[in-house]
Amino acid sequence: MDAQAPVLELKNLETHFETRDGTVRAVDGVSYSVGAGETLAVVGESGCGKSVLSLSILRLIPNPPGKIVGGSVMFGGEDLTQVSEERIRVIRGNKISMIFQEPMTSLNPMMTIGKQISEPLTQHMGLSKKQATNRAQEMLDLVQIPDSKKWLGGYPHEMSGGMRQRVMIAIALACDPKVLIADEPTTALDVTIQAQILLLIRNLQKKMGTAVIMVTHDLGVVAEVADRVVVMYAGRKVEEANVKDLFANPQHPYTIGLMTAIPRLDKITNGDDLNERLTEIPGVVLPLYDLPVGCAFADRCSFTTDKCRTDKPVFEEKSPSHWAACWQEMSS
Amino acid sequence: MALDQSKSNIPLLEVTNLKTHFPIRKGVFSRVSGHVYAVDGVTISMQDGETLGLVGESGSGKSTLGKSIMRLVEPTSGEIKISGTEITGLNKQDMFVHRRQVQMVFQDPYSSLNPRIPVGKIVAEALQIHGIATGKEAEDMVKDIFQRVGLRPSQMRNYANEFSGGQRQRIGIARALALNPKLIIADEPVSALDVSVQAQVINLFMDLQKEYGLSYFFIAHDLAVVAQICHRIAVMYLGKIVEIADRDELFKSPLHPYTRALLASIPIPNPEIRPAKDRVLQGDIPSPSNPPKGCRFHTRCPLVEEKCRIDTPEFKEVSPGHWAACHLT
Ligand SMILES: Nc1ncnc2c1ncn2[C@@H]1O[C@H](COP(=O)(O)OP(=O)(O)OP(=O)(O)O)[C@@H](O)[C@H]1O
Ligand SMILES: Nc1ncnc2c1ncn2[C@@H]1O[C@H](COP(=O)(O)OP(=O)(O)OP(=O)(O)O)[C@@H](O)[C@H]1O
Ligand SMILES: [Mg+2]
Ligand SMILES: [Mg+2]
Repeated sequence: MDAQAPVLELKNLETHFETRDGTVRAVDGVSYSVGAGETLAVVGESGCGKSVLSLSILRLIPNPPGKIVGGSVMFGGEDLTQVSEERIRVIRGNKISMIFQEPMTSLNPMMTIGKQISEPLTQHMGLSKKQATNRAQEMLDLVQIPDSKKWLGGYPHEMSGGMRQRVMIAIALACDPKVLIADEPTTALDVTIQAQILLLIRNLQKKMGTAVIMVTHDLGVVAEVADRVVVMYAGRKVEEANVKDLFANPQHPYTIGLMTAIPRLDKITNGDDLNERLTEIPGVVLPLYDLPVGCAFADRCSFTTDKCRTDKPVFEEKSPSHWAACWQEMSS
Repeated sequence: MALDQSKSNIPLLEVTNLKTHFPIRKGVFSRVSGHVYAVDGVTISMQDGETLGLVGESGSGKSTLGKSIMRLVEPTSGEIKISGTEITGLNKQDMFVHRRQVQMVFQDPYSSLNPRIPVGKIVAEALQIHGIATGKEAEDMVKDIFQRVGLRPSQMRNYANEFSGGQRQRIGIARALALNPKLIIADEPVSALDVSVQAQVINLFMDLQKEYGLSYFFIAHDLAVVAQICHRIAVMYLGKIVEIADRDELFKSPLHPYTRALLASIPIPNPEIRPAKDRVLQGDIPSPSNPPKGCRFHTRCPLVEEKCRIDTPEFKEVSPGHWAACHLT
């Protein structure tokens, strides 16, 4: 992947919210890039800024209270933070698509499934009504909705959650986007349906060479779909690595904590003891308007030294292509 | 132990052919136009000190089963015995006494706590309502319970919205513990929590069991969580238990095709093991108001045969303690 020019590149992106409590630094200087056909997973605790980061790419941050205050989002030679409102609208739902966690709230309850898929195609891609309807049915077939023809005239509330999520994917992929941002696309679904959706995304990606950004808090999902992983904590990137390196050799104490805090079926089925305690990460995430000067994880970390409390750790390469923001050297 | 044979043989919980159906009402006259067969003939039992896990797809009836045991919803038919006493026929007053023995912890620590009452008072109220303690005595008990679940007594004055998700779940557990129950029905108690906090709450459940010999009926959709703390696991599909076995047995030799699909669908947090493509189950979950004839899983089963479409498979003991409902086992 490295040899290839990235499709999308974020540099030092900063998105803040002005609130009564103060400035919430939801995204505090995050950089990453993703290449064609590659899947980048973004993981981290609830509230660490994953969704705000994704929404910032497409400038979907409500303003006020939110604002992109720094950095750039390079896509096809343009900086999306700077282009006109008109231009970003063309890019949304055409070149960069997004799937949200809750399919019911992002589908229009009053509009037929067929219309929801075909409308952007007539608007952005210049297809005729007939062509767009055909394409809509093709997409429903592709995402394995049975009786696709019948469903063109159906409404979201008549579908199950898994079907709605597949419709979201159909909409997102109908225009052959270069980048697909999937924000917790399977969190609200059952595992058997989740397995269907993940396989679907993977197959479509292979077919079309889409770059996928997969936002999730499920390390199982990460292990399954990601090529590379970005770990976020309190608005910042704390670790980035190839998926195998990250699991084999996590470098940031927060990542290490995550890895040991999850119940491991693979361990349990190896005959481990019942009632073995899990490793806890003590404490809670600090509010993002009141972060300490040093490392935001210092209060919850068992490796903390004085330096961690006074100096922000530098994001540095700990081993080839494996980056982390931590003053300590983790042994491998 | 040996002296008390007769007593210890009475299961803590014994549910027999339990059905809970919800009427679907339509039109201006609210005519009943059908039923949701949320729980449709469930038989399970639990021993003292045991943790029984219940897994299954969304809408399969897990919460309804849990609430039916609490009689928070009224079962349509069947029996529920707690320590040998049949509770489905009990009137309000007798039920009230029984409710102390069985307490529930809910999934959503945000909506299950009243935001306008200090959390210490929420727990104290449970003690008052059940006539266990009032005033200073209740306060002292709450203090003690708070410490047991890892909260500071000084936090009793705070309101629910001042706590994190994991702390709120501790308060929910404190409220359940206050009545000194034998059985706690925990309905997805960690699903809404972050991984790092989830570990704290799971550990708390395990510690409390060790210390007080509590039993848990533990509902979850995350099999890894269930495997961590449960002795036995029941798998539910469309209102019915399709398989039940000891934890290790279930993982080693799952019998029902749905259980196998469920096990194969769990993403394993190990990138060295990428999943086989053929494990993915096809099709959607059918509606519980119109469940498929014969075996309810036949519309999605990779091994379906003709008789599966016609006959309902019997729930039978395939090996000691390992039950499954499948024509092919
Ligand atoms: N409209 C808003 N006004 C003020 N603060 C906001 C707003 N939207 C988000 N935030 C804050 O930004 C931070 C990051 O939120 P974000 O939704 O990106 O988290 P997340 O990592 O996606 O969490 P989750 O895993 O729960 O989805 C949070 O602290 C949140 O409170
Ligand atoms: N009060 C009610 N009235 C009508 N139908 C109900 C009621 N409660 C539950 N149901 C229906 O009964 C079925 C079983 O629901 P239940 O909440 O028990 O499922 P569950 O297994 O707990 O699902 P989840 O994993 O999503 O929590 C569902 O179809 C649901 O819509
Ligand atoms: Mg989010
Ligand atoms: Mg439920």
